[in-house]
Amino acid sequence: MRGLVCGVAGMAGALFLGACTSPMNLALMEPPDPGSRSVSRAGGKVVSIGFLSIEDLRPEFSKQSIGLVQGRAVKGPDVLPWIGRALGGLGGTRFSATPAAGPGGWTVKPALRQFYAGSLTVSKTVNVVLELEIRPPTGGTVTRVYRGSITAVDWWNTSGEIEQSFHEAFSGCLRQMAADLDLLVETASGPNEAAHTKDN
Amino acid sequence: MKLPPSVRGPGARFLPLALVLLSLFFAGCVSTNRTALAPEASGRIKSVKATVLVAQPEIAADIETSNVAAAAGGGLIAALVDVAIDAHRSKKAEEAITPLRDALVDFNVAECLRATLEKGLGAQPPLAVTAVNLDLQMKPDAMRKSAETGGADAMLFISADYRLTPACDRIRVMAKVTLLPKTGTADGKPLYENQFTTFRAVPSVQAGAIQKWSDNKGALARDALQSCFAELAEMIVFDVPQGPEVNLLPKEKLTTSAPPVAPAMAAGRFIQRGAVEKKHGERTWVRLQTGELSSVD
Repeated sequence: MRGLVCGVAGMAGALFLGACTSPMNLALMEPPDPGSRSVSRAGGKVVSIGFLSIEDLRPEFSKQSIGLVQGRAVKGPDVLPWIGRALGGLGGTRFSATPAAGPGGWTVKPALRQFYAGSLTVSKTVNVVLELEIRPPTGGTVTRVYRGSITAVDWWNTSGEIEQSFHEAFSGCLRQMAADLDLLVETASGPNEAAHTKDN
Repeated sequence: MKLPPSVRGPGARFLPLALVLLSLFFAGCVSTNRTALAPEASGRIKSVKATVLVAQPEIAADIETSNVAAAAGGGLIAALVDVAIDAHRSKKAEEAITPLRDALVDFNVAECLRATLEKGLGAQPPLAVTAVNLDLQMKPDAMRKSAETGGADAMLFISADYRLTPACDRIRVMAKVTLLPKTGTADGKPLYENQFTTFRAVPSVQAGAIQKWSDNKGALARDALQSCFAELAEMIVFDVPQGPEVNLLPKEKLTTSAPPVAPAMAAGRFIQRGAVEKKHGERTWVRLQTGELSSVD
């Protein structure tokens, strides 16, 4: 009898949650840790990269909503400051981010391409896509696109669960950026500099 | 049918009858998804504005959903197996589609859809659409309010979905089209409503379809999407003046598995029968049993 009651209660709960269509409101308070601790472990010369303010290149309608998961709209505050704060603290083994470019230094112009949550059958999907326009001191421009994405079972369809997925997807994006910028700085600094860094 | 005493209750004697009635109800359950535009309503509409409702910023992936529970006759364990299989397939599908999304990262698909529909629907009788806007997905109440304040005699809502099929070999565009009057109809129903499906296949590929779609900054996918949107506009213009006689096709008009109906059914979720409605260039428009219009190559 007790098992039957539990089963019915569970089904009622599932039906209740299944029928829930109110919007999810994300807080997006603390951005993910961009991994700047790796700088201190590198040992070699660390280059400062000046990050300019982030530009919003999302389609106009995408700026009004950050997704629809199992029929529930996902809403949140302006995501640009949240992303900008994380980028401001970005660092790798060969670089660290600074708010403004120094004279003759590296400059990065970030742009937000996509930031949304969606669903595919029982799973939630989150995509964060950033584009970096990287200008080395030697001249020229390199444009790179970084995508962090998460696909996982949407267990509870709650704002906390979706917010956690945005954190993880954005963290993935930041890791790719840091690794790529490290490589670019190392390549630009030449073989002598690289060898010098290894000696250290 | 003898039931064990433990499940006999006051209504137990009606159980067999209820089961028979239920099976008859589902066996004959073919309802139309199409609402035809009445000639008198058509005559009253002098101006129409359209709104494209989009819920996805990028092209979506799709999977063949698992049916273990259905095959096993239900049960919690089988349902959990379905969830696990679907989750695994979703993850794989999302990973597979990433190169295509990256190739289309600077392509504003929603704006392309809006502009293509504006061009295709513009001043085509009986709609005479004067403007096409973009908006987020709306619930029926919000759509009715929007129609009331839209500044036209009627508002055409096009709720669109575009995705890669599970085999990654086709891009499919589906749209639900609803025409609402400025002032509500007496029964609260739309003036016109139907659903449309069209798709484009990647040419001659056995493997590496994603690569083909993604090559050259997704040129093939961009063309496919634009072509699907243009055909969608043509299908809407064709379908709106059609009368209520196409809402439910009589059985004698339906083909079963003969081409070209079969490929469309395999590519989409609509496993239904249909009849060839029209040859449109190299494509064939198929009227599904429930009144929906589907385009096949």
